[in-house]
Amino acid sequence: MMTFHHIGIACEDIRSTAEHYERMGYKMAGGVETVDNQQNIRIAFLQHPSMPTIELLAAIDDKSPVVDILRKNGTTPYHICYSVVNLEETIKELRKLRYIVVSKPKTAEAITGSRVAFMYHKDVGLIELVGK
Amino acid sequence: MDKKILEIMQRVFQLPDLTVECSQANCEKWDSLHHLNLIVELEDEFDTEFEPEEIAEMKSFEAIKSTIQSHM
Repeated sequence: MMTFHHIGIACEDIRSTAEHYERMGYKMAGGVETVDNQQNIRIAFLQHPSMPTIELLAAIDDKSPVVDILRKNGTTPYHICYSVVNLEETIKELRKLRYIVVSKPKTAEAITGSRVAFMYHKDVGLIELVGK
Repeated sequence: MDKKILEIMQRVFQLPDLTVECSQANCEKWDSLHHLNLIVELEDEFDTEFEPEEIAEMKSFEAIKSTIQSHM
């Protein structure tokens, strides 16, 4: 079973983009952005009492996974993340539906104690799965 | 196999004149999104599943061909 976790938005500058969401009542979790060395990216989670959680993703260097989309589209929605009970089983099930595995399960430094994987389907786009 | 790969690349990148010399380094349309769509089409055509490490390396006609051959 998959349940909504957050929307990932690729952005040029976390502080500049976060300000727009903070005006709508969002708060940055922990008050600061974090560096995810596994994914080679800077991350900040923005939370709101009645709106979906947003993850802002900014590049660290030219090898960051969001570099390409930022170059092409600028700041833009990047992925939708779902929480799953069993990461490996979910990947197997989605594989049967012709999703491809873009990134195998690895520890998510910004989501303590969790592992994440990325998958892609041409009719859905990029999704992130977060499991235990 | 060469012809099938080439046809898929031409279709995904919408470049009917694309040749076997094509690589991500010399093809402007070969961005990350087109790359994922290319992998999806290749998996369907050759009825196989690529590992993320392979997907990351399949960035030229020759590399694609070599990876598919290793799956046969």
